[in-house]
Amino acid sequence: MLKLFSKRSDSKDIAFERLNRALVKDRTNCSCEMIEGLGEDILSAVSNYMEYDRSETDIHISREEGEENPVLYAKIPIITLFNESK
Amino acid sequence: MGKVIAITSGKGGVGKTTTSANIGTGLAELGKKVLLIDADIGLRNLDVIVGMEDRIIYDLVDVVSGNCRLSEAVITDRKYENMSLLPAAQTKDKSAVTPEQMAKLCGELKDSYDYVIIDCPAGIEQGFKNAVAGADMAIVVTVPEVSAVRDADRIIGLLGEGGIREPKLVLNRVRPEMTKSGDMLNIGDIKEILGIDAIGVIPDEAEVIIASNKGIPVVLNPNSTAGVAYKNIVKRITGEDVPFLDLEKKKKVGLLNRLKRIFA
Repeated sequence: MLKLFSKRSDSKDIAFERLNRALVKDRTNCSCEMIEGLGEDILSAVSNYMEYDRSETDIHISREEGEENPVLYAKIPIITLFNESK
Repeated sequence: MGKVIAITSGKGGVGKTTTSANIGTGLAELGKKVLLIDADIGLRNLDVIVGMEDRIIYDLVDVVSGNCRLSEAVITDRKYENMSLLPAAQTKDKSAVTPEQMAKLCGELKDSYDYVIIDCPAGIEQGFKNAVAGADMAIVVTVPEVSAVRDADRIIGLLGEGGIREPKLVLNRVRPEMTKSGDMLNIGDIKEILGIDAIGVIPDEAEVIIASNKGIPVVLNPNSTAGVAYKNIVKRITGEDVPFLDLEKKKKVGLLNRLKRIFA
């Protein structure tokens, strides 16, 4: 009985983790066009509220240490916020 | 109106052809009119798995290029006259067929067959694109190994781009003693990773190899758990709600059966 328990090595958990990590990368790599489109959509929405520095924008998806899911980053330097009257 | 099902995987050697042969034969056993198409041009194999390799005259490329009529190229199974095979060309390459030709052919075949089963080539290139061009649904075959599952994910993405949504998963070559000990990804793990529904789980069994040696698909062997698992896939394709076998439990029953066979 003891042997039964000690035999359990759970190498499939390692496989599961590695696969999930590889697939996040594969899937985000495959969707470059999607991210580009998403970036355009975000910027066009943002432009209703502020003037931003287009040359300094950075929108991408990445995986961060300690985060379970990939994260969408958007860096959009603001020049001026439009006031209510716009 | 028939249904065109593409059997695909991405990675080679995971059991696409064996799965195609067993699904086709199982459907024929249920009385359905079935056409198996070997779309692996240049590397044909479905013919040997169903034991029809001696009778090939014309092939898929001959049919789509108009060298012969469909009826001249298809080979009828010796046991089930409602099952036929349209073999792949062996001397040509994947560029000998176009996606438009495949789509047109499949469209026509749906009028005369209940099921058209397409055995796709491995890979994600032109051969794969041709093979799935006329498919209504797809079955993705994989084995519980990281490389095969990763390729299956890629294929699922490409199928989606091609308009084939919600493919079904066949997990092949499962070793119950290893899933039990935590040393092999199980069907739950793989469903979670790939995000698609399973239509079958096939145990790794000597009977499958013995069946392929003989050219008689294992689905016709009621004493094989793999055969029963394939039969269940066939029933699910026809819309029947069949519970999945508990492979980890099944082992003991298999031993009992073996004992019974010894004393029979």
